[in-house]
Amino acid sequence: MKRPNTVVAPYFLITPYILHFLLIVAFPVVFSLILTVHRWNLLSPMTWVGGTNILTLISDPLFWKSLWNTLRFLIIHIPLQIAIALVLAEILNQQLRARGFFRAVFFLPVVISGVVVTILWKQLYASENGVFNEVLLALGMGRVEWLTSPLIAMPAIAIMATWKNVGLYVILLLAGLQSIPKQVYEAATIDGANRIQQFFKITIPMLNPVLLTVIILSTINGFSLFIEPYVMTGGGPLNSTLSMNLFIYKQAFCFYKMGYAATLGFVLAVVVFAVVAVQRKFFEKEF
Amino acid sequence: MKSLYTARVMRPAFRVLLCAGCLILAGCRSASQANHLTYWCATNTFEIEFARQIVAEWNQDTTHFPVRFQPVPSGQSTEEVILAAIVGKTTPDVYSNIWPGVVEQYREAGAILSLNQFRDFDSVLTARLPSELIEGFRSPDSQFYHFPWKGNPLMMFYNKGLLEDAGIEKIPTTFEEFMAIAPRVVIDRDGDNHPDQWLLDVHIIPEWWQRFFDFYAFSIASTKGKTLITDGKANLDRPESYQVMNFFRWNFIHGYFPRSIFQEDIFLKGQLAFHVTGPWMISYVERYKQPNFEYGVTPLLLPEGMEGPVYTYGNHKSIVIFSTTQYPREAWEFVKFMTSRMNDLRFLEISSQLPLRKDLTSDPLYRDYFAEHPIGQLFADQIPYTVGTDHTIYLQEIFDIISQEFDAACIHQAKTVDEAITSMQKRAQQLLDREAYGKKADRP
Repeated sequence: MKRPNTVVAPYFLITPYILHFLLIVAFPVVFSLILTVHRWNLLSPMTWVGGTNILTLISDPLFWKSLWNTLRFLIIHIPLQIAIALVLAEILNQQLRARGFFRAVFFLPVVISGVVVTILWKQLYASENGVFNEVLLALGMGRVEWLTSPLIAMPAIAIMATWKNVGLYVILLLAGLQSIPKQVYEAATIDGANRIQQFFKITIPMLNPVLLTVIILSTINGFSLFIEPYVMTGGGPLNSTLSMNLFIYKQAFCFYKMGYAATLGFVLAVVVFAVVAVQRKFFEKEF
Repeated sequence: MKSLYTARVMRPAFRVLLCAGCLILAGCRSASQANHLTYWCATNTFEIEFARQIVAEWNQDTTHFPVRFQPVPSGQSTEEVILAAIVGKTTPDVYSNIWPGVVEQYREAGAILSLNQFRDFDSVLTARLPSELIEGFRSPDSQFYHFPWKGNPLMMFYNKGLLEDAGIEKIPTTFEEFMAIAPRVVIDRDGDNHPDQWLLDVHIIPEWWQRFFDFYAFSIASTKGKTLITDGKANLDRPESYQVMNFFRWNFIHGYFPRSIFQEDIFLKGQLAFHVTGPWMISYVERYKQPNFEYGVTPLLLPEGMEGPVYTYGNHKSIVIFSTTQYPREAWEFVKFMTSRMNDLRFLEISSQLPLRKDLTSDPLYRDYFAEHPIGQLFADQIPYTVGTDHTIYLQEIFDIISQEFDAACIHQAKTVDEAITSMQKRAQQLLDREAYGKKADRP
């Protein structure tokens, strides 16, 4: 027969986690689900609206605009980030002097506050006296309206986000590179393969699991784009940097449409699942 | 084994949980049985100093119910913090920096008290406020839920030196005069084919409240003080809207208004001729200006041929008493003390913001202040010609629509002015119809 305290104790000890899970994870998800069929401004009682929120969403041009903006950001950000991370990881994988120092330098932006980085880059991108435009002028080129041109603002944000996050993916890819056995490269060298052939025929295929992780992580991070447009552009110009998360934030906390914001949140979750599923199917088969 | 396990694991864990529970209960108890009023003020240093002084003076009198003050907790915006406090029922008794545009939402939620319940409210209000402004503070149910405290009329600061250098002797008063001086002001000084100084700045990041400083303020001036809604109908599609939008569009097209983000304050740096702002700018400019920087203040621009007093957006801020208070009568007494003649003078001297009172320029008590601060006097003279915002729960959303259309038609010229105004009128009216429908549905 078991002693009573060994039966009760485990449950007692996991109680904080269970409470945390119920209050911080399960309750908000269930409550948000309930909100999707209600209108609620936080202050007045909830009103049942059935499928109105989803119908509003379908006919809301700003929703489609924000979805397209987010996808546009991902299309620029993910390939750029992975290409730069791969090149940097490959360089850091060589026998360089001060390799540890460079690893730390590349990782530093990841641990700096997102708001701080964004404010700093906003200054760099400033139309008048911003560093980037001053460099362009010194090179005899014209000014660029980095954050005030509807065509350039989102790519400018994508470049900044890449600079901020690339260090994390460099570390992940570096770990992947270091796990590839040297004998494979030695055998390829004996067989006459040059460095480029080795990179595409050995490195990339053998990095497949890490690359997939990096792609999925950067996709999920990309879909959570919020601080950069919120601080730098407010979603403008012409709503060209209005991301899904910024749109949800505005609906919830500027206009107090909690039901609509919850609906948008669930739709965003579905979109993220769908994109990640496509990526897994494509990349797992490809490599 | 059992006793060791119990001693090392179970007892400490139980104690931690017990302590946490006790702390939570203690917190609830102290919140519900406060024996003082809580007053939240704005977070700027001037208003914190004002709050500190008046609360200290109030508490010195032992017959007064004690008051404790604190700046409103920090958040993305004050409205968000107040909203969170209302939802969590942690609102203070008195809050002094409320924007009238959100009062309707709080009223509908029953979060703020009607001030008409206090017997002397009407007499206090009529003694304080110019009669022409009183109706602007009344809610649709005929009650008053916020006490008008300060008004910060928007006017145009101008750089005297820059205008003199451009050979401009008369300060423009109309759109046409303003546009006529533009080519003389906006010039390329260093020969890089790019202007180095501009006529007027407009905040180009599309934040809804920024339209108070351009489209809304100039619309009020052009319509002699009309707001955007009348009896549930949006009035955005009116000739004055076209005049204002065309004015801004023309100046952006010609590069007279910068479509840029700057690192510094270009008005103080001497690169901007005009800047629309309120009296709070006086203390800022005085503190940070270069020794040779001279400036003046002038009313907003009018369409050609229009005469008479120039109206503007008042940027009023009010005081509310939240319905969570257990001491409404005491809170009302504190509000009256806070807005007394002497404390309004104190507020003026500390913050350079203007108490919203009809005798501000005639009461001898304030005469010395305005004699020493002639620019403050210009703002004070403007107060009778100020208007606030409309009463609708969709006000922020309507201003967001205006901001989007302004961005499209004026700043980036992605739409014509006709398309922008037609769209903003239609979308604003849809929101107002929804509000009217909601009210009808709520009726028994």
